[in-house]
Amino acid sequence: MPRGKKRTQPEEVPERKRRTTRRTKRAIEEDEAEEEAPEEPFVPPTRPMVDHRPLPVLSPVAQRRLMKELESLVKNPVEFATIDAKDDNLARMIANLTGPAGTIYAGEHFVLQFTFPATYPIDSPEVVFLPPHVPMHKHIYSVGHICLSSLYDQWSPTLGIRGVLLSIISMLASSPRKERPADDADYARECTLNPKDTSWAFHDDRC
Amino acid sequence: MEDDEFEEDEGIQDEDEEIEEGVSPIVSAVEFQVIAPDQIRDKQEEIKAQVADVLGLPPDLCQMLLIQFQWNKELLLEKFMDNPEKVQAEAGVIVAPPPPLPAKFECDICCCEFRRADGIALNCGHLFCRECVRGHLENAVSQGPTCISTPCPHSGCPAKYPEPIFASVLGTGKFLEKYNEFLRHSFVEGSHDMKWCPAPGCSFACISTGGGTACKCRCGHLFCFRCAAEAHAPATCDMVEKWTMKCNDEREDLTWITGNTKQCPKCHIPIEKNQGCNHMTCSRCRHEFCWMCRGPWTEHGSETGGYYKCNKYDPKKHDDPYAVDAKNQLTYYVHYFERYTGHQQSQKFASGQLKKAQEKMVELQSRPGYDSQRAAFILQAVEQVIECRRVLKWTYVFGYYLKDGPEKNLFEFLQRDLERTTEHLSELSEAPVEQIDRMELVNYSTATRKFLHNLMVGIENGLSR
Ligand SMILES: [Zn+2]
Ligand SMILES: [Zn+2]
Ligand SMILES: [Zn+2]
Ligand SMILES: [Zn+2]
Ligand SMILES: [Zn+2]
Ligand SMILES: [Zn+2]
Ligand SMILES: [Zn+2]
Repeated sequence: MPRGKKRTQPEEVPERKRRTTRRTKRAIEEDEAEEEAPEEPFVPPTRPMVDHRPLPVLSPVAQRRLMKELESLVKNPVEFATIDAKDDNLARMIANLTGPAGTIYAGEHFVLQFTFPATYPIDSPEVVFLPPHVPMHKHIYSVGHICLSSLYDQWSPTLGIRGVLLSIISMLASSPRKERPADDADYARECTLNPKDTSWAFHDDRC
Repeated sequence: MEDDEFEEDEGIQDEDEEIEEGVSPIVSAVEFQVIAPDQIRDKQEEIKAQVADVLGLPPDLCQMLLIQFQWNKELLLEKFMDNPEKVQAEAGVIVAPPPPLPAKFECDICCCEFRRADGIALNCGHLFCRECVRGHLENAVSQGPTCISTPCPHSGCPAKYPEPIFASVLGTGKFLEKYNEFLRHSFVEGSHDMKWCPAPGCSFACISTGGGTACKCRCGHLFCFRCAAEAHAPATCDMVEKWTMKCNDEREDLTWITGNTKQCPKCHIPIEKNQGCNHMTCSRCRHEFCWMCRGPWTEHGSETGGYYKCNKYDPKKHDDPYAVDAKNQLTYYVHYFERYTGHQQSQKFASGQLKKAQEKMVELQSRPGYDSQRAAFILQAVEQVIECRRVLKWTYVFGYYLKDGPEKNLFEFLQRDLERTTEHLSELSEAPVEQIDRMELVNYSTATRKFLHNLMVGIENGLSR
């Protein structure tokens, strides 16, 4: 399962990036002037994830397809996952995940949020973990964004909710260590609410 | 050809048959073929057919293989001979026909039921309804260039959509147009002997048929086939890249050079340059000076014997009020940058003169003894100025990176010759019709071409006498 590291989309960041570089430069100069300013202790980034974007209005195809998917998930549930959907608006669903037995996450509780675009399933859903229920994983950022190619450019319209859940569970099951991506702090500063705005560069599992 | 008028200039006498009129010694149009977008398609079909011939597969599938190999036919054939299954799998090509399809099916995207005839399946046998396939393909096209290898919507299925399905499902419209454009781009960008003309808005592509680098597009743009910058002989691609970077670094500090206004060295009123030639006359005090070096023009003419030396960098000359902060390095750079910019501005100005030259030609044709052919010398002179300005501009990049020594001396000698005649030709060509002396202009055009030739050949021969 390819996953990887992010690069934020060019039109999103350059302005901000440039500012960051300048600030860093000045910071270095100041440091030199003041002779070793005491190093700030590392504080894990937290960012308000208050999402004020209006929910998409689903097309009839998307509605029918999601109804079918829910039916199938009731009939034949995915192990370690339950879906919480409100009949009046299928554009957003919550999945409660339990760390799979026999893995380093066994028994932990995670919350996954699906937001379906109007053009679902031609377009992929936006899938994020809701802080603080975010697994400690090398390819999952603390803001909840998941580095998983099938959610972005490798999405295929037949994958569906089940396919996404299975991919994420297998991602957890194969994790040897609890750790964050190396660029977690930078990413938290640069990303937008929608992980699909990030242009993801996927590596293989060794990254 | 007329060759009187020139007394002291050796080299312009009677050897002008060496260079054909109108053909520049540094641009060989023979080495490039310029093609329009619809001809690109023909080229593409040609290669498809060649591969289909060798592999014995349908051309549309061969196109998928070629796309996978960025249109590198040789590499594709080689890899295919090694391991055809692997190559096909990676390209999403399934040669075997699909398994028997059911009479009715449920589309896995929209969850509706359809008859087989209303569905579309690749050889993988995954049936989807036409509407959903259309949505899938349109979405792929709006994602960008990767749409030319769009996979079957079935999760994990390797099969990819060939061009005919795009054409039939998308119908006519902007999505198909976009798809075709991406396809064309993948072809031109993949083919190592083909390049897009870099001029903005130009859709021609150029095919290299020889070893040359200066390519002239049908739109008139002259560019370097290797680095896509403006054709830059005698400077190398490497020099141009370094120079451009250097100029970007220094730009902010040197805006006074790139501006169109300088002070009169005598009375100090600001003077705006509104002509291509560097012979300036102050509007207030009538002082004549050189725009490039701000020295008196009297020192620039051949009459005084105090030749045109403003192309040579002289570290002792410190009369430049702007360069007082001068570390030598900066004044050295400023010297070249100022002249580079000067010729660049003059080149632009001369390009703007083309229209005026045509008007002058028309005016001239109303006179006895002038037909369009006989009046064409005015236009040719301006074209000659444009070319010389462009080359002179790049000689200052070349010169900047050239180490001191006898080669540099010879180079500066040749450069000075070309600069001097170009300056004169430029001045002559900007004159109003009634002041134009045909013979003089023709002579100077010929002389300038000659000096341009000498310079380029001199550099080609390594600048040794
Ligand atoms: Zn990674
Ligand atoms: Zn369908
Ligand atoms: Zn398929
Ligand atoms: Zn062009
Ligand atoms: Zn070049
Ligand atoms: Zn003056
Ligand atoms: Zn001068």
